[in-house]
Amino acid sequence: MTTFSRRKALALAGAVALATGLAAATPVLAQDCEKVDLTFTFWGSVNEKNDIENAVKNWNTNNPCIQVKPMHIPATGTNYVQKLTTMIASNTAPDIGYLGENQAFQWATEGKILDLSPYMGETPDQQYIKSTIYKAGDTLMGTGLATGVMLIYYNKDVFDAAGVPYPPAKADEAWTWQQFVDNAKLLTKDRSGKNATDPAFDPNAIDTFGVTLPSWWGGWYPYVMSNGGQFANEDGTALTLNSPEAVEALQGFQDLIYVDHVMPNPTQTSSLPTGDVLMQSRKVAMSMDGMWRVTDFAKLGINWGVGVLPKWKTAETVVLSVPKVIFSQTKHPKEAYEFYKYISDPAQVGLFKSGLWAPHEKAYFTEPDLLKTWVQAEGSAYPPEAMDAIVDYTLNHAPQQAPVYQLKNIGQIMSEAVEPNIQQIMNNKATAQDAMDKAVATAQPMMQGRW
Amino acid sequence: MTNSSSPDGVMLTERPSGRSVTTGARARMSPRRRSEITWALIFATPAILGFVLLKAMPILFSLYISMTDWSAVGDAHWVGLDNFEKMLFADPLFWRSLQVTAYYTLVSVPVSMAFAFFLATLLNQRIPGLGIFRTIFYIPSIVPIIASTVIWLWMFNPDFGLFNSVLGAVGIPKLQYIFSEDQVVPSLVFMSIWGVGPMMIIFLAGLQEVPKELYEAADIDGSNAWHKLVHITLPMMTPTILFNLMISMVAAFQTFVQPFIMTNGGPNNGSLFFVFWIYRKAFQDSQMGYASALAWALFIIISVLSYLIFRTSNKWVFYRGGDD
Repeated sequence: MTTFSRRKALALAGAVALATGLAAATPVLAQDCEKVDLTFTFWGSVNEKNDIENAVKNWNTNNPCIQVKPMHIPATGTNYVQKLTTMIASNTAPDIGYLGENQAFQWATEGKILDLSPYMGETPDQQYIKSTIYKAGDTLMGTGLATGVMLIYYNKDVFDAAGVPYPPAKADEAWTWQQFVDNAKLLTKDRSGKNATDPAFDPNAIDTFGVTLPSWWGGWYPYVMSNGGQFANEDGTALTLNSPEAVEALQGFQDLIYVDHVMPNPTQTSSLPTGDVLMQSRKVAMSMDGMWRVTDFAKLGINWGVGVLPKWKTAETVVLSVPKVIFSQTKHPKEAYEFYKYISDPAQVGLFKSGLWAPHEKAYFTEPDLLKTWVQAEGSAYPPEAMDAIVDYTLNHAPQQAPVYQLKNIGQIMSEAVEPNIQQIMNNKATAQDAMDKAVATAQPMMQGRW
Repeated sequence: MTNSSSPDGVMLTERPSGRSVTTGARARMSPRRRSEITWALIFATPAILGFVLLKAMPILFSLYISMTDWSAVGDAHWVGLDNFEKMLFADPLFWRSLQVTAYYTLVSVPVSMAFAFFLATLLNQRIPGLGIFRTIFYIPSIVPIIASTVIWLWMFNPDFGLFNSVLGAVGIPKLQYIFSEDQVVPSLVFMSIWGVGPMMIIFLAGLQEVPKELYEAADIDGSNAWHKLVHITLPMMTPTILFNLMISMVAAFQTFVQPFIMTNGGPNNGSLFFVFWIYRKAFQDSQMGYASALAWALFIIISVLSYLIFRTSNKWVFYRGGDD
């Protein structure tokens, strides 16, 4: 409705449209104003595509003067980036679009992304969750499209059968790493039904694993932070992943697989289905993953719950987001910004309620009315403990931003220095100390400081 | 391409002004020949235009951007030979990817050529159901590479894949295949054998070109099958071998789908093939300039190797027409 009130000429027409219902969709209205066409690029599964396209359709019906063309580009591999690169290079960039973090920061420095400071003000962090604000130098790229916190999902039936208490949903009660390992051992069963604490337990014939953690940085970096470790030093001139704190946390990760035998190794993981299906088939008791998997778990029809991550020193997690930007080639920045806000509005987009997206505005985590638009909405996909394990956890226990928000050249540092060496840890080819020493040395010539 | 028809081309395009120059050529040509050439050029125009616009221009453009720091979305700045200098002296992954690719090429080319030759020899026999066998061995080549790659991914699975099940049944310890840094390239070589169909067909064609009278003469002289293979078949097949060697060498250097679909260059860069590395630089890291420089480096490497193979070929390739 904001666009109607913005335009005096349209006020009357708006009233008529409201009175006549469907008439609002007729092109009669469009003649009263100068029509603006916008292109919006996004990726996502079929479900996401349908949901986003519905939201865009509603927008187009209600905003005859700002017509948005949704363009779905599958994000397999680097397909999306490839397509966007081509569009920008040929001066046919979309107006608004999702964008991977690496590209967002790089393209912002190339001047390809609109600085949203004039629209969002100087202190966006008062309104938005910190980890969803993207800033490259002086360019405020805006916010992510939503947020998602890293969590533990678990199968209640497997816990009940093993007599293990559920992972706590409140951050204050988070398990210590040792409690986490001990409980995971009780939940890990070999084919003859012995758990991992039994001396006769056979680690080569495991039937149910206690836990799976992702091997990308979202799976291990929260534990590094929880132990007081950091990704890089203050000025971003060197990685610090070989600090004692970081190494202890990463060694703990390796030990889950090769010492405690509670987690599948990467080779096994690569051949297993995703965490939700594993849990459904009782092949795993706990699975660390992003909040966005709520939508998958909710469809399984199993007895599942969410809890907070175990802690080393502080109960800490990381909040992830995906930049949503307006490209500087747009001819209609003002109109684009209106749609920009709309497409992250939980009242408009069903993906919030269905458990794929969590909002990025702080008010949605505190105001009862706004909580009712997603986590407490009627028919929402979230379990009751989500008020603690997602709402409170996101708002109060993710104090630090992920390295991608801060470090320049992070794409190369990750793919050439960090990830190959993390693989060495996960494959038991090197100790955490040796691998991270190597990662730090390899990354040295790539370091370009912080944003 | 246009040069081969240059005398006629000149005549046609310069007709208004260059009359006196071209009359000689015109006089020697029948009207029918002229109209044939005119139409040939008209029909060839799309191909020529396509080559110039879609191949030649991008190739030259990539040579230019290989000397810039272009990111594909921003402005390009001239950096001279910096990209090439970085490649040689400051990028360990350049050498790593070159090593992986060379290793793969060195092993997969001889292995798959030998296997293709072996199959072609078998399929050159007069046996019942020959057509069926030829079809069976060719079929893998018409399976889309993505689909066959996914199947191989499953067969290589260390836990429940086909290969380890077979090995386990005869008591051989499980291998890690593409999940191990040391085994990933040998595994992909093994997989490359599956796609020898086209090479096999070319060998088969070559085998059928070998004159029967040579074998008959050898039979009369009492030579056995081995002698016939070494002294007749192989020498007569050398042009085909040269062709297959060149084609498969170039293809092996351009391996892309396997790392892209199966390994993502891992584990620990153990399958960081060169073209995959170029792709990653261009589209993941948006270093279009550096990626172009890498592509030109690959072009130079392949050119040098091709040149060397051709230079040595007169020592071992036998053309039936004689030397002249």
